[in-house]
Amino acid sequence: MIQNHAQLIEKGFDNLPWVDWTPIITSGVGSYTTTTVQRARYRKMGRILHYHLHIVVNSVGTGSGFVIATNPPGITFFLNLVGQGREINRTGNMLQCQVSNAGGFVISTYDNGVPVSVDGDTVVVNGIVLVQE
Amino acid sequence: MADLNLSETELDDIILNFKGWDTWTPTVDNGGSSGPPTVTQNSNFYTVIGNICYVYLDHTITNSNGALGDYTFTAPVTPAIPNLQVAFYGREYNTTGKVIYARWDSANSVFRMLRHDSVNPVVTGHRFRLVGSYRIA
Repeated sequence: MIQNHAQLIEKGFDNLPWVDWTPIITSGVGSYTTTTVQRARYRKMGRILHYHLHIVVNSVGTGSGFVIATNPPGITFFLNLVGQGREINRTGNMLQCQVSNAGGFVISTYDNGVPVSVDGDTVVVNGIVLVQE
Repeated sequence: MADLNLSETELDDIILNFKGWDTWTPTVDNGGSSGPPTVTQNSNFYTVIGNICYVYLDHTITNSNGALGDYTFTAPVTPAIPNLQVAFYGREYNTTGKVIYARWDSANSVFRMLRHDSVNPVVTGHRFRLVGSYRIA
């Protein structure tokens, strides 16, 4: 039984698991030759989902659009939302990440530009999403 | 304080499956001259877990009425955060696709929304979605 506040926090919020998933990475225009998902994980707390994505575009190929990652299986978003992050390989640009059921995680720069253009460019984004029951 | 007497199953039900989104109608304005803008508030949701308030807003500016300055909105629950702390990030969806954010103005008890480049965000036809979380007392 949970009988006090400390146990509530320990058994409830502290123990919520982070879940890894394996998104498919594509470019909004053209296609990347090679990508690596360093980390894709989420933590669901009721109808709030925290996520973290860390994606390396090893070889850009003909990819020249936004970076797109597919959604975790079994999760239905309630509303479209935007997270934020940074390109950590070269530009240091602030990034935004739109999230929707139809579009997945769509990563662009702060001014709606293309986030990666050179081999090795890496995007890291975090955010909150509202999810269905 | 009385014992909670919750089983772990009951606790899981509360935390993992709660449906506790509430709505509120913030008072909106602009922080500069002219205005205020005419606004359609498409969605306003919030929930409190512990001492953190999670908030989502979706507003469309149907007429700026010449408003200048930041877009301001009141909070569903009073924040306990320092003045000017950023609590929201989002995107302008209809026209520019640019990043927006909002920070707490403790002197006026409103959040002030700005575009990333400090350009006036109150523009007719613009629609912005913000999500954020902040500490409450």
